[in-house]
Amino acid sequence: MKNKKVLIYYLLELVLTICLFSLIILFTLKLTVLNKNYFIKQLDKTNYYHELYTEIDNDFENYIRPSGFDISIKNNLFTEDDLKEIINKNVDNFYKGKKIEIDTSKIKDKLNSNIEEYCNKINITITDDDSINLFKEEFLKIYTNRIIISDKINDLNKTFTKYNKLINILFISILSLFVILSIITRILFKKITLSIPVITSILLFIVSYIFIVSKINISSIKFWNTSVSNIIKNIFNDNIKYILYICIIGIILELLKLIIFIISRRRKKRV
Amino acid sequence: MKKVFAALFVLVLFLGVVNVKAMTESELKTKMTNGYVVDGKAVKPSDYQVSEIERYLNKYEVSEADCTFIAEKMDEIYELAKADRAKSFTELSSANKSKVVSIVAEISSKTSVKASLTNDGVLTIFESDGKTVFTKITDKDIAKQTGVNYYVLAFAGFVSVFGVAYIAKKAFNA
Amino acid sequence: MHKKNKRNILKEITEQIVISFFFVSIIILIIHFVFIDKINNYINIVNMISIEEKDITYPEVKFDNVSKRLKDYPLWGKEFATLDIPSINVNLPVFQGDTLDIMRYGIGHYSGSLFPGEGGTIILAGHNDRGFLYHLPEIKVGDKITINAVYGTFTYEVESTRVIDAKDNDAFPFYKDKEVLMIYTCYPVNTIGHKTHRFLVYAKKVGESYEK
Repeated sequence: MKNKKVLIYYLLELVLTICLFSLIILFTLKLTVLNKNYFIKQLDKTNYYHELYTEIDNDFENYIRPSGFDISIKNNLFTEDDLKEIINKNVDNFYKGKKIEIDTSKIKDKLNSNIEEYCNKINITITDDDSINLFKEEFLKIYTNRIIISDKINDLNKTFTKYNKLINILFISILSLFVILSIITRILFKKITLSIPVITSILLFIVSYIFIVSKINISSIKFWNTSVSNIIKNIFNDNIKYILYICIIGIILELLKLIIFIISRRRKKRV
Repeated sequence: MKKVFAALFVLVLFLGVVNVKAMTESELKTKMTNGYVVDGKAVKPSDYQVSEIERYLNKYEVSEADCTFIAEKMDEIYELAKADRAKSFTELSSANKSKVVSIVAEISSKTSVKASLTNDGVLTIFESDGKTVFTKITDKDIAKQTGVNYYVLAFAGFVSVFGVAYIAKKAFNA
Repeated sequence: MHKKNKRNILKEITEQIVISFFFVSIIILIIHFVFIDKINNYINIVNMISIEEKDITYPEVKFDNVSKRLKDYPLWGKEFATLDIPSINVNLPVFQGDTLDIMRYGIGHYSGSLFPGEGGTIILAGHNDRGFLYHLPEIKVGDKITINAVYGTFTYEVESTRVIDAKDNDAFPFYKDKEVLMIYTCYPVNTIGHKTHRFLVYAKKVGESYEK
């Protein structure tokens, strides 16, 4: 009977360990990738809006050059702040599972006005509407495509939303299980049994960190452009950083627990 | 779109050329000139794309192991094309398009040939330093707009987001 | 008693650490046998987008007179020649690559085509605005074109010109046995809007001299 009890105890400890390990990973994901504010902060930190503005501006200039228009028609079409507003709104939509859309009405009106101004300035009348309309269409497509990359982003959005919800449910379920099992263990075995799960989790994270760092060359990541590459690198590094902080807190708590235990034993002895 | 598909064939095809042990010279020559037949129609790289990859191979040696790996990947791409009866990249199904993209990325990560999808959405092949561009193979026609070409951006969106979607799908399908 | 307590505490801590290591081993084994393929997949996916950068010095562009091929090619985006067309007052730098960013600064060399001196098709492209190839449609048959490359000077004579659809790839035949220079720009040059045609010049090589 005693053997069975010991077996059950260690089994519960193992389950608690797995729960704690999973909770820490899910928690850091919720702080980083699954956190809208974190993502927006990364866009600021990696200077994404400025890089995007420069890319769009370059593309506009490249397209205007052979068209016969003057470069001035791209003046004041949009600003970095406009881009920031659009992107932040769509990031918000992305995290809420809403459709990603770019409103081009403002830039379209400004483009029309710039073209009209240019034509009046050089005193010409447009006779080939098709050519001009096609030009405007292509122009706006440059703008839209640079921002949202592709229409497929909405499909990605659906997948992301689905799994985001799943992770939330998983987090709450595991947390509940962890609490319930801790209470059961306390009642059955009269022990506050967080040491083994904490120590095991810390060891697992150390092993995982060594494994990941040996296999993945995070600093060499190149995807889409410099800012996006840096965002991906930052997500990796921040996840590792948060896990490290949690491990340090765990170690401190364990040491505190030990100190309190020693002090209480000494007091009991004096008594 | 057809050009990129063909270019991908060229990339994997020519990387197999260097290693004569992997296949005989005559087999390679036949493969090079005939390309693949999909749905009764030949899918061949253009002479310009062939020249571009030749130039790369004249400059860089690719090991036997890499050549063998590339040859295997080439057959994988062919199977995907055959399954979709696709004679161009656009004709591939969404899932297979992203598979082709990831095959190219896999070639880049596992062999000495460094390539990536850039913000232009073209197949950029790098020099051995991993940062200087060797060439960019696009889906465009030879004659550029000499201005921004919407087709490149559409392809950029397609390929890049499928790259992202593929990664996300893989991650979330755990 | 004091020593006994110390021993008990140490024993408990040691037991916990040993159990922890044991649990770590079990979990690693479970992960290894059940999830290793998926983990390797994720690692491969991330590594696919990792390209390590190294610092390398590249040699100068040189021409091999025996094989009639360049020994070391110009790096992407680097200037390696100038294009000179006196009849239309064009004197522009030629860069390797023909992306839009490169062509902002001069003439782009289509990297799939051969280089001057290599005995095949050479394709150059430039914007149609003033200061670039705006006057290209005014070129005449018989006009001379000179390419001063870092490895030699090559002279061409215009054989023909034509206006093509932008998608007409057949207008750019790939020659390996005769050197033909093809230069194009968007057409028409003096209208505004989206251009669907190109003005294309074909020129045959009539002279060459190589740097020693």
